Amino acid sequence: MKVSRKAQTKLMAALAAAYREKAKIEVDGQWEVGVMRHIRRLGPVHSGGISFEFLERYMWQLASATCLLILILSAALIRGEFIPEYEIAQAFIEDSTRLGLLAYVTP
Amino acid sequence: MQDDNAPKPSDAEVIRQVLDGNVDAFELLLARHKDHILKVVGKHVPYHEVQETAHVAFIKAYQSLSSFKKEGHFVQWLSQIAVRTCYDYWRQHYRTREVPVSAFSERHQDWLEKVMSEESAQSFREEFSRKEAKEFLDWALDGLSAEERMVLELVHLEGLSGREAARLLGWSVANVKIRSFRARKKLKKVLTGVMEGQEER
Repeated sequence: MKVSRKAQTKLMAALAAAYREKAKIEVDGQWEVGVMRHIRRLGPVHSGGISFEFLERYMWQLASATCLLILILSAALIRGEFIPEYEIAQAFIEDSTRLGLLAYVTP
Repeated sequence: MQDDNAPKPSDAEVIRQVLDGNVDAFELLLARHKDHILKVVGKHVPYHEVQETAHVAFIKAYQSLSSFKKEGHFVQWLSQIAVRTCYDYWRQHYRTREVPVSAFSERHQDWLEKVMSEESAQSFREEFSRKEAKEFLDWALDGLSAEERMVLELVHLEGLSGREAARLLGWSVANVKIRSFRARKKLKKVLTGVMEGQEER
């Protein structure tokens, strides 16, 4: 059965009104005392330091930039066919400069 | 004795004092803005969690005080922290909750029936102020994710613009618009399902 637009609007209006009607919270002096006790325990804050909010805000931006960088580098390495083990093996097999293992171990 | 007629220091002046090491000066900011922050937090988290969440919001504000830009309004900056703390509360809540969605009870069904059949504006207003209305709202919002819940409350229930909601949540306007659209669609689906069931009864 299809629900009419009018009924939907009515219910949304009722829910929005219920949301606005949420009771106001009253706190006693103990709540403030508790917050200040916590703050005193943390000690003084200083200007200029890296703040929690700063970290929270920029950490995720840096994370996405890092992921992007990893993807770009991976793509560049794959396109350039850079496979370290393969390159080393090829160097030893071809040995165009008469380079052997002994070259590394003898002075 | 303290002079009551002495001019009260501005928020910026108090913040300066706190940053200079006078921790106790923060008490003045707390006293000035606690009602507003409790109101903001009270809109987003369950009643029994409001005090704790507001407490956390003030602690975060204190720890981040050095990042507050002097030219901005402190109360707006504090509201941003409060809203983001509420968002964190829901993310944490959804991660740890054992019962995924609260049950749609007979009482909610009765309330819905009354709302749907109510014609007079006066009795309609009385219906939504009832406890069942708030419980029904909580039940409906419980089916959304933390992101959807926050954006729906700010944009569709509080009536904030996309830009205002984006500023409070620290998201881009495009992100708010997309999530708001998805949240509304999801809520509509939940409500339509319930209303259809109601009409078939």
